[in-house]
Amino acid sequence: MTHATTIALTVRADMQDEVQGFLHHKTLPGARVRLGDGVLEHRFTRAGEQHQFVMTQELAEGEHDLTLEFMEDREPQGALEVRSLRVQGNPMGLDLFRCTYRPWKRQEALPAHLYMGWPGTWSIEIQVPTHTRMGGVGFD
Amino acid sequence: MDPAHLRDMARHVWGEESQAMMRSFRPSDSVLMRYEQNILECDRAIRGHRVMDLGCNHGLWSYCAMRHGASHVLGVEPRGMFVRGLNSFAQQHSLPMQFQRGHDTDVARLIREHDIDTVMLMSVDDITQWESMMWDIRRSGVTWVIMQNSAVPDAWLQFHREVYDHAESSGLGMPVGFTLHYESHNSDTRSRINPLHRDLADPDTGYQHLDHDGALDLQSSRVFLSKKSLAYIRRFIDHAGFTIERSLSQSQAVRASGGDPSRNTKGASASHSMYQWYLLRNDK
Repeated sequence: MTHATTIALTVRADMQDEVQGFLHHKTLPGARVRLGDGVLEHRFTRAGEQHQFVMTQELAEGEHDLTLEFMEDREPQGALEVRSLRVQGNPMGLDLFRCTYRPWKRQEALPAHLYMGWPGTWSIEIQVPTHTRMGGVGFD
Repeated sequence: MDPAHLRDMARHVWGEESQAMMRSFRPSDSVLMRYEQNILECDRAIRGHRVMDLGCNHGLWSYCAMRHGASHVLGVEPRGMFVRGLNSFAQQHSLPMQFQRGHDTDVARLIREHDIDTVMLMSVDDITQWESMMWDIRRSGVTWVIMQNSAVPDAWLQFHREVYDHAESSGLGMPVGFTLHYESHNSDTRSRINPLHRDLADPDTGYQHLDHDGALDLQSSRVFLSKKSLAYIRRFIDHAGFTIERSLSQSQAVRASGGDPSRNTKGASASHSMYQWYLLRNDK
């Protein structure tokens, strides 16, 4: 049995040292979000832009990784910052920090990081069915 | 429960992002069991009465009480996202329900202002100042209390020799029960809100883990959960002067339905305990 699961992930492009005039040296990042078989992409077009990825997937009971990754691994490019996550419309709180950021150029997993300064992959576990396994989601 | 109503409640509370989930929503066994114990078995305290659901969260039990004949339901909840969404839902369908932002410390005033007959306390025993709240209700004009708790078993604390020695030497007598305190965090929209920093909580979500600059602030979101022993809860109910009209534990309920008591523990199992249900009468 599968369960329809909707996530809304808000991501911001941070060009970091814009003030110092280094913006021209960096490219604006692109971001790709995956959940189940679903993939969404967005290329940021200005510094500080926020984009919300909204996706509904039919997921089997169990654990599924929601991932956010850079579309390219070249540097230098702006950073990505996870601003918020809603699961089935319910805003995640402190549990959002149960995430892991893995910069591609470093062989380490950084827990509880919402800021991706280097190209890499950010992930968080979505437990399905969400209304019985994730606090505050749905009627349970 | 009207599935169309529940879908629309979810839409008002959680928005369109809840609707894919709600298309196939079926109440879990745990929800159905709580529905039976808190609503169906408490008909005499609901039908025709003005009911207050303290800590109503997503409003499911407020809605159920209204559907089962409550003349008016007041849902009280500190999180604005629920209050706003549920008021919008009730108004759209012209349902006799009203929701207000509030806390356990507002109970006495709200009972008075809304002329409440019945108070519903659904799993708020460990996230409120429970004893103070029960005294407030006892002193009020409320007639009924429908209460769902998740007490810890009395057998969890084996009294040591020191307890007996202390009882003897101190003159305090033997303990009548105990409370276990768990350190936790205000981490989701059902969690306890740190009362010290209540005014700084996000008005929509109640979250307290971010400071004004958006930086992580774990100190402000740190809370304590207080799990009371079954014997203590019963002694306190007696001490406060309520009459127990009905009480049942989850294991008794499951056995009565021919099931396995070790199943259907979702929700209460998170706190290593099972539900107990009470219908209390507040005689004067």
